[in-house]
Amino acid sequence: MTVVRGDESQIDALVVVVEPYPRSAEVGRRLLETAEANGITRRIVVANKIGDDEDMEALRRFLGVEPDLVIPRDSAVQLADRVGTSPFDHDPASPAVDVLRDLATALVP
Amino acid sequence: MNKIAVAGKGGSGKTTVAGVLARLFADGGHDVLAVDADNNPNLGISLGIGAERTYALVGTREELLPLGPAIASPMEDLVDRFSTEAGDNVRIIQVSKYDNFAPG
Amino acid sequence: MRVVLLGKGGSGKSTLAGLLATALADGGDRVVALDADSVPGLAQVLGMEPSDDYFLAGMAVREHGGWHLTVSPEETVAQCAREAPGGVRFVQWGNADAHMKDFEISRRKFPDRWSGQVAFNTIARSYDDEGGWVVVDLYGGTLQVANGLAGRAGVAVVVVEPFAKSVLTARRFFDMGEWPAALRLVAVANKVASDDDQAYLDAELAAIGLPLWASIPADPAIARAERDGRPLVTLDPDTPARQAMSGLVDRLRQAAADTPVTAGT
Repeated sequence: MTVVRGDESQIDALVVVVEPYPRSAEVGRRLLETAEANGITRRIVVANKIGDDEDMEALRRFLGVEPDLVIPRDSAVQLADRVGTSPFDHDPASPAVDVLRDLATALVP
Repeated sequence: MNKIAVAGKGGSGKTTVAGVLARLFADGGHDVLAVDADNNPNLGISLGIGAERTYALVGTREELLPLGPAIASPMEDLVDRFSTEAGDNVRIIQVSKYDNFAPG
Repeated sequence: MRVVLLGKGGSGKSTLAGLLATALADGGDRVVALDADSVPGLAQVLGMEPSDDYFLAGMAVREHGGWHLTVSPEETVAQCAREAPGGVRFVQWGNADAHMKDFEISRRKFPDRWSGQVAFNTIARSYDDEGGWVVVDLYGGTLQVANGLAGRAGVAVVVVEPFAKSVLTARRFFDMGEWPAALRLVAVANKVASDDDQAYLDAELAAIGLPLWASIPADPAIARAERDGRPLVTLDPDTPARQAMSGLVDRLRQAAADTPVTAGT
């Protein structure tokens, strides 16, 4: 169970990563609920490995909220995962890394 | 200091997201401490230090447990002792190799 | 015989646990499946609605400073397991409808839930059926294994996907070292999409020293079924993944036949 415990009040932002599958979304939902109850006001929902509109529809249905960011299925990330390197090194301009760059800038300007 | 937590179901991509975000913050000129609190810690791979180095990372909890139940070190000392360099402006610290009370 | 599934989160343990349990039951065997994940999933894979009916509330009591089941493990399962279409009976640890109050389960505040979790852990560690199968779907990662939930005997199946983090996880399980002598540790490759994937895993698993007992191909029909909430038992039995399961079933039946009958474990 992936629940953040401890000094939650010291966390400036929580990024919750969800995939378009029921259990992934359910864990995400529980994380968001716990975070809100523990005073983490900045909560960002990232939809990950989104392949098509049906994926997005499924995620909206499971999660009940609109994700803040969408990371598409990214073959460069899959390749980096396979060989065990960071997508940042493997292809810093891949679609997924671009989305994360926007997130990074929004989190820590 | 900015504390960003990344969480999600195992396999959802949270470790990849956390690792890439850490590298992006560092690339933007910030000093980054990447904390892997998962009981199956793979953050090193997403940071770019490779599988072997990731596997060899010391678990802070395992190192401290034999010393007794009451550890009163300030956080900065623990970070100095147990974190390791993971690229430009990034250090990684692994909470526990196997067993952990707060996974994710 | 006990079959415990381990692996990195997202590797497909619950899916394979459901497919395996169903395949064994299809063959006419008695099967009990245990879902040790705090977020229920096995129920849906088996074709049941998420529910707290499958929980062991109140089945353990604290007496003389220790916990024990109120009745025998067999009786506990007989009373609490629910039967899925296809004949698999199952029990779950997790809470189907969790809200904030449920995340921090304390013995004083939620004695019924606490006792249910203790009961489940006891069952997961020790319940066995020598004439049938007990399939235990453990939570992703090493925590439950470190807490002894794999139990003493049978087969522990590490589910591995063709990428570095999954392989590293398998290595961690192998190196954990405190495996009971009677428990066989093996690997099953999952979501194998190409010959390249297969070659990669063959090499990595050989380097670790984990025997590979089956290779389950990537199956888009399964991913879609999970995404759309359709139980896997409704899938065509000829889909590649279900066919690959029969290889694993054969290996497990062989292992069960080879295992000496132990009295009083």
